[in-house]
Amino acid sequence: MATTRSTQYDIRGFGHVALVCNDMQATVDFYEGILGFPLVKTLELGNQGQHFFFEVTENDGVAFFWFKNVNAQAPGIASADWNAGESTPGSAKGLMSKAAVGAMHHLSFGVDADNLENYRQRLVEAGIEVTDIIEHSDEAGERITGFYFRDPDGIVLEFSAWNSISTGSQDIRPASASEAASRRRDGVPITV
Amino acid sequence: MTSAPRFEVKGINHLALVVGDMAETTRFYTEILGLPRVRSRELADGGQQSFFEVSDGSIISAVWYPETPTADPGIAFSPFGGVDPNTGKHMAPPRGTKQSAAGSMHHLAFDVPLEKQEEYKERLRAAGVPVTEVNHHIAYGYGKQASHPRELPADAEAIDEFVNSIYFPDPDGRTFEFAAWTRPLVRDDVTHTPARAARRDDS
Repeated sequence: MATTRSTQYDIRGFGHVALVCNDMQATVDFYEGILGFPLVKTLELGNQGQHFFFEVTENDGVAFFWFKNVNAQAPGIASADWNAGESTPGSAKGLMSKAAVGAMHHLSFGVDADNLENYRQRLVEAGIEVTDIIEHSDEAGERITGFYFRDPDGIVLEFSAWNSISTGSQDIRPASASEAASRRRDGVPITV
Repeated sequence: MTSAPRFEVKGINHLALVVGDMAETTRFYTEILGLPRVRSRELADGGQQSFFEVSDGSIISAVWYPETPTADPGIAFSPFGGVDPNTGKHMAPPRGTKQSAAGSMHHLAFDVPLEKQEEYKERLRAAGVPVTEVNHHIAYGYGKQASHPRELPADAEAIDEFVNSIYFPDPDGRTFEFAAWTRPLVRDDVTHTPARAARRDDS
């Protein structure tokens, strides 16, 4: 059982991140068949569609809706765009893409650092396109290591391992929405 | 027989969400939900990133860009529709925005203890957050739904409940949920044939 970090609520994890797919069979083949997350609950939503739940851990899960009438994928708006840009040694194809305010950019699953190479190879063998393993580092030191791949709807996924999470590093003042306008006007990042 | 996991996934490491206002986002996660802000940094393009820790090793990574498409409810996410003042139920969001696009996150549910749902609803309300009544999502009568046991007809058959939910909005209007499983899931919970994309063309 995961331990919450909330001082207010006993939030033990992401019970379900509810995503939308185009083809539920392809989604089951991928999340259960390739990633190995058991399908634990299926629902028919009247005549509107389906809602399926996959278990990641005791406290974390991924759920999918399949809607009879669904808007087509909108890469770069509804999620990161895998095909935006090229991979570089310090970043991955897709990761540099933006998405709209309100969107999930990507979803990362936690694994042990020692397993990254092996897991990447196994996904390659399963026919999945993956990025190189990337160490995200900055002035404050290495933070997270992982690689990216995508699901059948182009949702950018990651297998990653924490190196450290240090509290208060580079503590900066949060930017408000109105600052976005001034930053756009100036064309340069403002110092905070 | 239990087989070894294909990948030893320890959980969701992080969920990266695009936000419109980092100050409001920070207030929401730290003051309302009580999550520590464990890391923040400036991005090369003038954007910002903040990590809020949900549980051990699981983070929400909020990303703010100086320039990005504005919120696109119904494409990028399913917006919170508000609380019906008469029933306390989640109201339908504006027409055409309930079903977000394929490849999007529709909503986000946090796992909480079942016995805390009523208390958490009250505490979120006390903090000024609009929150629905607890929805029991009770299935009965082979295809019917009730949100509370008191709505069940006396002769209801095949009653089943597996999750309880309360819904509330995040600062960008996404639909957030506190969810609690009410019973262990069993083999019979997986009964439907996954729909193919092509099934849409059948009717």
